[in-house]
Amino acid sequence: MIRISKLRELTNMDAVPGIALCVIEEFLPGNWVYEDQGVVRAAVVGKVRPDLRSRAISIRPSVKTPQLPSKGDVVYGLVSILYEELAIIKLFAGESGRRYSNSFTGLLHITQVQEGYVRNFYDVLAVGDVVKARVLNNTTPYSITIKEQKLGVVMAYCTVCGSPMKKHRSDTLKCLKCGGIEKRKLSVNYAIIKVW
Amino acid sequence: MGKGKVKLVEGGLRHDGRRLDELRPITISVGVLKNANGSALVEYGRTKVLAAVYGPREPQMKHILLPNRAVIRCRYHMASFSTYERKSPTLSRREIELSKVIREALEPVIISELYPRTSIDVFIEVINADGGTRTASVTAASLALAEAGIPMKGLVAGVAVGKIDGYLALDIDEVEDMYGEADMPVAIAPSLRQITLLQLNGVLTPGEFTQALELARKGVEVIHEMQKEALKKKYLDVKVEE
Repeated sequence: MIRISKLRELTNMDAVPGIALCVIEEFLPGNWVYEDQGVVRAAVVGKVRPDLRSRAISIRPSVKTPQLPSKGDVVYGLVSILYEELAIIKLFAGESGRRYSNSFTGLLHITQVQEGYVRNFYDVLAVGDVVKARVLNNTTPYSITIKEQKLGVVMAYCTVCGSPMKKHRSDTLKCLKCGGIEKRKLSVNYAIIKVW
Repeated sequence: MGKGKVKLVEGGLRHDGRRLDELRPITISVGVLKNANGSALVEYGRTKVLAAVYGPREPQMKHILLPNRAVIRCRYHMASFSTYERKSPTLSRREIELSKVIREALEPVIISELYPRTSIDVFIEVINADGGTRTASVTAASLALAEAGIPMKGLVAGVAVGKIDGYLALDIDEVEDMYGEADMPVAIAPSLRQITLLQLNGVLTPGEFTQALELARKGVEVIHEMQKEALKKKYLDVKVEE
């Protein structure tokens, strides 16, 4: 059982890695803490947040903690290489548009582009496109999918002249400068992208 | 070496006026670099060390990745202008070895299992060398890791103990290292009560060794407090908006 005074002391306490917070009988380890020989200790710099409902103690980090994609996340990526059945995509930001401090490799297989048969990648993607994708696993290289409606190309440039392209039909884009028409697997959110 | 030629201890004071159990003036600043995920600048007297941490990130050499944890890579390097005589900027045998011992001093505190198949890269640049660069490096690197938000079991701090003119002295500098009888760098993670780096150059009796270790422990305790203070000052004094 935890004393009220201890709870008061813990709430909003300054934490740096290694400081002892409580014992596991008082609070279970939550986020950004770890347990060592029955003692719960801080693992990052931040403010202590005990939670009586879940009986867990966590830390609200004050430093920028590592950002990595995880299974189920929607991410933004840049198409870097296209093979016949595989595209290599650099994942650079999460769904919020906040850039990862380091980019990660994503692999997009041709069966994950859309329902139905896709003859080759050149009908659905081009190098330099920005795509919105969903992550399917938890470690690098990340497998990704763009099968959903809101997933797919969100920004593309003309392969002939390099100008930005406008949505033409549901699966085609028109170049603003040269008028060329190209096929893509488009996201319904085409051109709606904010990355910072 | 010029044994006995230089008087290192006179009237209980050392050549720079310190007592035997006194640290050099230490300054610590955290978050000094913009591009790095975490960085720290640590000064032990005239020794000045810059540490930068990147990651967890995907390395170019994928074969070094481990399936169960992040690999920690460490590069200790002395700038060519850091010493009295120009130092070749290529990694020397000594620097490669120090990179390894510093990495091993940090590995026990990093909770690397949280980031499998990634690498955490620690770059240490010695800007000015005046003895105790490896211990200052460990101190700086652990702060840089904390600033990078990498989960750690605790901070690590390092300090060297030496034997000069027959006396044990804390935090020895270049001159004392050169003309002294022994040099023992120690790095400790005080919250874990673990010694993560221990080297000994020279000769100490078993009794002296125990004494030296106790001296180092006290020194590390002081530096550890300063590390915590530096992090709190930078990240916890300002009101965090909800």
